[in-house]
Amino acid sequence: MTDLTSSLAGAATGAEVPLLEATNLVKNFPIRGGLLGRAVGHVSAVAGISLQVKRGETLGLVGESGCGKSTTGRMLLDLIAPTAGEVLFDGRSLTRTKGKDLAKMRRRFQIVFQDPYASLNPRMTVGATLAEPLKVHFGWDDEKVKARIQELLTIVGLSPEHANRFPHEFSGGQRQRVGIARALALEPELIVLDEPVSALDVSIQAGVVNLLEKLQDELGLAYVFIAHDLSVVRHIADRVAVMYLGKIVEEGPRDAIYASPGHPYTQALLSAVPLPDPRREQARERIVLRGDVPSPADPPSGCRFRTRCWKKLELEEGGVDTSVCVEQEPLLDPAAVGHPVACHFAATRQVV
Amino acid sequence: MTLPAPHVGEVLLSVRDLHAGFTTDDGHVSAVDGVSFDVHRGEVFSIVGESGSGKSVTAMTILGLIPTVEVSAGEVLWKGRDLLTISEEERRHVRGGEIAMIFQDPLTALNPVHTVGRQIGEMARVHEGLNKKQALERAIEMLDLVGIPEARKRAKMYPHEFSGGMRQRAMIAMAITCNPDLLIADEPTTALDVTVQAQVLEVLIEIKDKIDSGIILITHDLGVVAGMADQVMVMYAGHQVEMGTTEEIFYESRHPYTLGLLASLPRLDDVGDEPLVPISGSPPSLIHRPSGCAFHPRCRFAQVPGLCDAEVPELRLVAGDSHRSACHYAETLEGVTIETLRAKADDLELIAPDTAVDA
Repeated sequence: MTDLTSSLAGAATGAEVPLLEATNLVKNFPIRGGLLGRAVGHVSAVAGISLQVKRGETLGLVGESGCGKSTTGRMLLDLIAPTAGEVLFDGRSLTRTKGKDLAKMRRRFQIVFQDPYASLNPRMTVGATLAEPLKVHFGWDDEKVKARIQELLTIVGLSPEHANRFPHEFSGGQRQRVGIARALALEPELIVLDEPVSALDVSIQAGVVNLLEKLQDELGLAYVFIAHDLSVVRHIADRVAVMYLGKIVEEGPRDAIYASPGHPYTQALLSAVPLPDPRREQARERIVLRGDVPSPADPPSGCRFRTRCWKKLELEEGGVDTSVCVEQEPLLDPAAVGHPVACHFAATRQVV
Repeated sequence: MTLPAPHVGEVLLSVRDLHAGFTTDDGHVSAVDGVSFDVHRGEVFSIVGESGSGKSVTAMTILGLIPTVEVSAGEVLWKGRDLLTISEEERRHVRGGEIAMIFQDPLTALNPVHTVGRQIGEMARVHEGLNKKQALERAIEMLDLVGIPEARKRAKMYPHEFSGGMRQRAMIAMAITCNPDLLIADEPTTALDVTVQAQVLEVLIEIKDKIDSGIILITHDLGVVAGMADQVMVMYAGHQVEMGTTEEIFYESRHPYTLGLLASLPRLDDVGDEPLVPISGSPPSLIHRPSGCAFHPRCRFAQVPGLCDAEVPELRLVAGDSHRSACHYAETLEGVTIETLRAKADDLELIAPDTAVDA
């Protein structure tokens, strides 16, 4: 609780150290080939991104499959070592901390995976799964561990008697609650949620999303919420970063991103999400992108989005010279439209 | 404001009181329980429901695609014949030729060891007796129709060389090769990213108008339904719980489950921090179905003990000339909206504790 109050005080003076800060993160995965399995090229999964997460805040990281959002999430927790760049957690470099010090720090940040069935050990009861981190990190005795497990199960909306059951005995929604309980066990300050509700039916998903929000309010947690579902992200995030092919193309407060997006990709993405409202949905103008996401092994020069950009076409039809899109990589410009956008021709457009 | 009425032609397919299920070690799973509906030419008929609601089994049974399914009652009327009783030979003629299917996952539905062109052409060879060369030409024409660039070159490629969106277009191309009267699309865009989903849905609607067919669209995505469907059927635990026009279902629903689904959806067009209202509990086991209305244990309007846990509600006309609901208290839901549910929900209800131990 002292952390929370001090951070609030910090926010007031504007001198707050962000809980998590990533600078110029890069991840290249090698493509191996030939007889000796040497690297013959690389997939540029994440190509230099920087972001910050404050205490108690939710950063939504959105983008389509293959844009590098999950790789980013894992680098933030040092589950994948970055090729370049640095992650600071509470002012300390994760990339440079090793061994016991790193193990100690790991208690403070946790992850919840998309598929709760694959991420729980089928041969361990839920109680054993939850007990493991408590014993490893805190060295608690059985009695204390048992009490904490019952408490954890209760706060995630399960029943204490579930501790003796195995993962296959639960429904999908219940399993994801177990995954959340495991992440909460060590009282972390930050949780990376990697598509935590994508595998759930909507009627179940709503309860899990509400639970995450309640836990955040009560425990002062910071979340990095990774998802492809823009509607869920709108609901839960305070700030949103939109990724395309390994880069952040737009970032800002939630309402700015949804009400006045400035990047042509964000605009297309938002306009493609169907609204569950027939009159609005059928009256809506949709930006349909052509083609598919290019291969991250051979990304386009200049702006990575240019091969599918509707705006570039529109400008060319109007006789505007767009060679800058091919020649020069657009950087995130904080002044572009009131929030950072990486586009040479950034301009807001209402699309929802 | 009302939408212009779509052009709707004659009844194409008529499903009457269909019962289908499976026998397992634990007992009989009744996956589809007394489902009836009509699909007309030119319309998009959408079947909506969550996992395990019976929507896919309904569609697969129409074409006899699940060998282990036991159909215990019902008729599937197609051009004056009952598809459930015709010979396998006749059915093979209907399948692919007159009714075609688009599956969810194109990578598993396409054959990895044959070129895309050959697989599409096979439809024309089997159903229309074209030779190899003619069939390939037809395949190229179809790929072009669904908007695949350089169709001639692409026809010679294998499925793994296609992206997800292109594979799904190839599936659509295959489905329309023989100008079917009815397309059954089972979660056609669920595996795709939203920008690609938008492309594929656009193609699907264009194709429907071009070949003047009907579409059965199976999906769990209410946004896709809102944009595409003319008629909607909502399924829960193998039952039809509500049926009506898209507007009736979205704006004047008379079933607590449909209302619950709508209230649980996070929406892109929300303006503030509207709460999501979950439906408590989990869908029931299809082996041990709850007594009375299968939805009553999760229903906030249920009268228990009373009618809801005692009698199975019939699907009956509740408003207009086609809006049907299977709720004993459908009439009392007039005027109930998502906002009503949001206003009623308290904090505990919002996090929906799931303490059932027999999941």
